Amino acid sequence: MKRFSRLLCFGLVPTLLLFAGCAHYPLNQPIRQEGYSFEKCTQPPDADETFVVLTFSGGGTRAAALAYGVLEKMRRIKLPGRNRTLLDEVDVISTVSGGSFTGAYYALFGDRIFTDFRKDFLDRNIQGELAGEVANPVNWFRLASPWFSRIDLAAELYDRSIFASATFGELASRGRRPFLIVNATNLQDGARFEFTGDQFRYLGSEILSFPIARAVAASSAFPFLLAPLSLVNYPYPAGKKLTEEDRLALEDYWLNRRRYQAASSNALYADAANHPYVHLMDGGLSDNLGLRAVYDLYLRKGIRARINDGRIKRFLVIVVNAKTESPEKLDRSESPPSLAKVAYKTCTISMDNYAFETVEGFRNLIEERLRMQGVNQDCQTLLDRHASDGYRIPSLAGGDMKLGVVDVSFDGLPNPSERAYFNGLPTSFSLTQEQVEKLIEAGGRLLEENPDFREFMQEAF
Amino acid sequence: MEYLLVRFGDEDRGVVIDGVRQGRTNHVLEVEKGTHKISLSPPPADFAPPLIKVILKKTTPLKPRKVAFEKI
Repeated sequence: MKRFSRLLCFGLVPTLLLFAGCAHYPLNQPIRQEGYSFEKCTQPPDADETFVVLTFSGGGTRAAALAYGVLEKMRRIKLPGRNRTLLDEVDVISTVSGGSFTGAYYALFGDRIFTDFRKDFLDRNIQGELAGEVANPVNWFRLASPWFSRIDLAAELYDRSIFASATFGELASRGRRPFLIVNATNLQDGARFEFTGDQFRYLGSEILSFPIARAVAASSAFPFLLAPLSLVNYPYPAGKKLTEEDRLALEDYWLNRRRYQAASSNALYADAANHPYVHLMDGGLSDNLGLRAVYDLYLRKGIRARINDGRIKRFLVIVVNAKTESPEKLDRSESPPSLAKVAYKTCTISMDNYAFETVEGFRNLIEERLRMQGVNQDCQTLLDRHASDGYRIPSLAGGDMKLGVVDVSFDGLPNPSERAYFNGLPTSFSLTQEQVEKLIEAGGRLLEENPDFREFMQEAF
Repeated sequence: MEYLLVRFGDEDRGVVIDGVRQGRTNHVLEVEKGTHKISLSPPPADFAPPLIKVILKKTTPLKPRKVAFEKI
């Protein structure tokens, strides 16, 4: 017995403490080669003509299943006159939190999602498995390290049991659409952080060797339940981190605050001496829809260049939004709500309002484009009718595009009791098979019956 | 959005905005409001000036900001 105690004191405990001291999250590597970027996803060759963007919101397994239902429905929609489905036309998937599991799985494994994703993710009790990892005594010592936390355990679990240890290098080497944008939030400034080559260039880091599971873990690192995921911000030759666009945008404080703000967030990473690390949490804190990434692509990046080049004829954005609205009874009570209730409402009210405004803001942008197309055509018609010199108004680049924004959310369900059922589903990584099946079915139906979707399909094809 | 029309005589040439190739001359391009550097897509680099800096605001598709390059 004495011998055993001695062994414990002088052998096992120091070994475990050493083990704990050594536990460290995997470091992102310094940049060596070009990363995973939208510009390099060029296959198939005619990918731009019908340009489809999907955004998958946060909301745990509820969001993942709803997004999966939309993918399944899109696979069954055959495009008139083409030997393709609507799913074949998806060019970009931007994801947050629970939606990141579905988006990343589809970007990585393609149609395999329709045979394996339910058993790999949707039908599993992921949060139970995570709790099991935390309860494992071996991990207690790892978790004692200041450089290893619950988010790293979660990333390990996702890596080995969902994403088959795949990295962004595997997505980049294919060069195929859809281009995946997994979104998280930088705790330093609250800005959106996307797991793309462009974003990692600001860190002076390479994304190709970075595991997809870690990106998804960061994207779904819900505050307090999971710890932040950390990255190294490497120093990089002065002036190389910021693009020409960033430098010009930094002159635009008085002219265009939104553009200035985006460049300011990028400029933060350029100062690696004062910001040597980046700590990331759930993407829902900065944008719970994944639509802000599309906003940037549309306003000033890859989509904008393709519209100006006239390569896009049809442009469709499908926003899959799994937000719920649990019935509130706050105003039935004379006494004010509890502190916990107030804290919860404080977190979610602003997130929901922001999500609503993000969709409507993007819709306004699309409507503006449609209006301008109409103005140009109407003026030319009037000139042709009333002027005889045959003057042609310079045409708007991109011509007469067909554009649409489709919001797939439980609000679109006409049946109040069905709406109440889905609004009552929790945000968790564990739902029953029945709940998952209902969500999948609802996702497909909400897309198919959406009036904006029907109008777009009718006009565009 | 703001609107930009780049001319290079009557020639059809690729346009470069903030270092990114997008759109062509003689078409009204949609560009985000703000400060931008406009150039043409070489080769050949037979145009002057090599770069024009503009501030895009208060434009419309019918009244775009016009930028012209000369052949050299």
